[in-house]
Amino acid sequence: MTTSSPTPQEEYIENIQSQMRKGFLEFCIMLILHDGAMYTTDIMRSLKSANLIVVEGTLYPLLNRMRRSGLLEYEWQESSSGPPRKYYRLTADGRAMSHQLTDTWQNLNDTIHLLEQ
Amino acid sequence: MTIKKSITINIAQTLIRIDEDAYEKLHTYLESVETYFADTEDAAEVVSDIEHRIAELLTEKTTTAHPSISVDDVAQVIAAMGTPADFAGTTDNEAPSSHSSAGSHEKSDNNTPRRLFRDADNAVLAGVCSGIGNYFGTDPVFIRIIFIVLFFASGGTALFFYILLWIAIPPATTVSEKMEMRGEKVTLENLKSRAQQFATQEQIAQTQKNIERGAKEFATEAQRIGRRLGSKIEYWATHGGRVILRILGIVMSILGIVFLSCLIWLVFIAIRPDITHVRLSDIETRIELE
Repeated sequence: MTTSSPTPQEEYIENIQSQMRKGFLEFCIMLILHDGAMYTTDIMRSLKSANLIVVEGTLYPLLNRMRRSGLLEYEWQESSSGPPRKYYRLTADGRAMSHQLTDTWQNLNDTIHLLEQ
Repeated sequence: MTIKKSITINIAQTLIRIDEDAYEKLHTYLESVETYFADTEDAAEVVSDIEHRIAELLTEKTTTAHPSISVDDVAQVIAAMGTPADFAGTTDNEAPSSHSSAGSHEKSDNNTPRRLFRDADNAVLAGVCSGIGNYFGTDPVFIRIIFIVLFFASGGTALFFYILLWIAIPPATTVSEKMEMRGEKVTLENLKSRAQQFATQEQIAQTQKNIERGAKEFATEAQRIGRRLGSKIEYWATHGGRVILRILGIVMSILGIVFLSCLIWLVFIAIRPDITHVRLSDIETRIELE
């Protein structure tokens, strides 16, 4: 029971890190879905293998929020084992948004490179 | 223990075989997830997504050599899915005020209404007195003393009211019900700190047991006997009618068989008295020969 509580500084760093990750994760989901519809669990596996999410539970609220914003849509597909599965894909809006985000990312990346020199 | 009760549950239209204790753990977890997402717009959808994935993970864990999901399996699934505490950083449905109250869960003095439940955790018989004690925010000992005084003063009539309350008041079984019983707000922070409290409570109980084992065991034994008696009475109150009917049925059928065989015997004697006589004397002579 001796888990020391994080210092204010550590908390601050953690906060900034999670802020940075927030938009990034959405962008990555859009990149993953660029090639076509994908089963939720497979989306999760890709994100997990890239160390983008730690716990799976965080993905589902995110996907639902993106769907509500009109970036993603899903359809049910029969599966050979078990109940039907949700397959997500990008909407036209989502595709446009992902192009925009690619530009944004490019700009950010350039800035970082410039500052690092 | 090698014997465990195992049940079948239906989660996201998938049938899973699971140990009873593992089910309890899973149920508590899903309840906390549901509470966490309750305020969000797609609560139902998100919870069903999570259930769907849990079903998938549990199916992967089920093999012919390991047919029933254990507590460890559930713990692994929870670790993979994450607890509401893990979601807090990445989802934006967090209430801004929840951080200030972290750690100290809101007590009875705020306006959260208490609900009357039977408190089986602190029960002597059925937890009626401890439940009432929780409801009024007093030590259940006072309620018990009042009840005992009333019992003698009323010449036993108070017992009837106890049984009436026993039947009328539901027991607090889930974590949120137990918190409602104590007038605590059911929020994520409270659920978390409550879970931690349960853990420390267990530790305290452990050390206490070690130090004053004798006294403690005596007390728990007395409480257990009381509770067992209580559950027996409860069982009889609900199943009593059926049990009595069954016993009556058995007695009636035994009587019937005896009556029928007597009747056959009598008819037999009436028709062929000589045969029965011979048979009886046969036995007699054989006994004599020996």
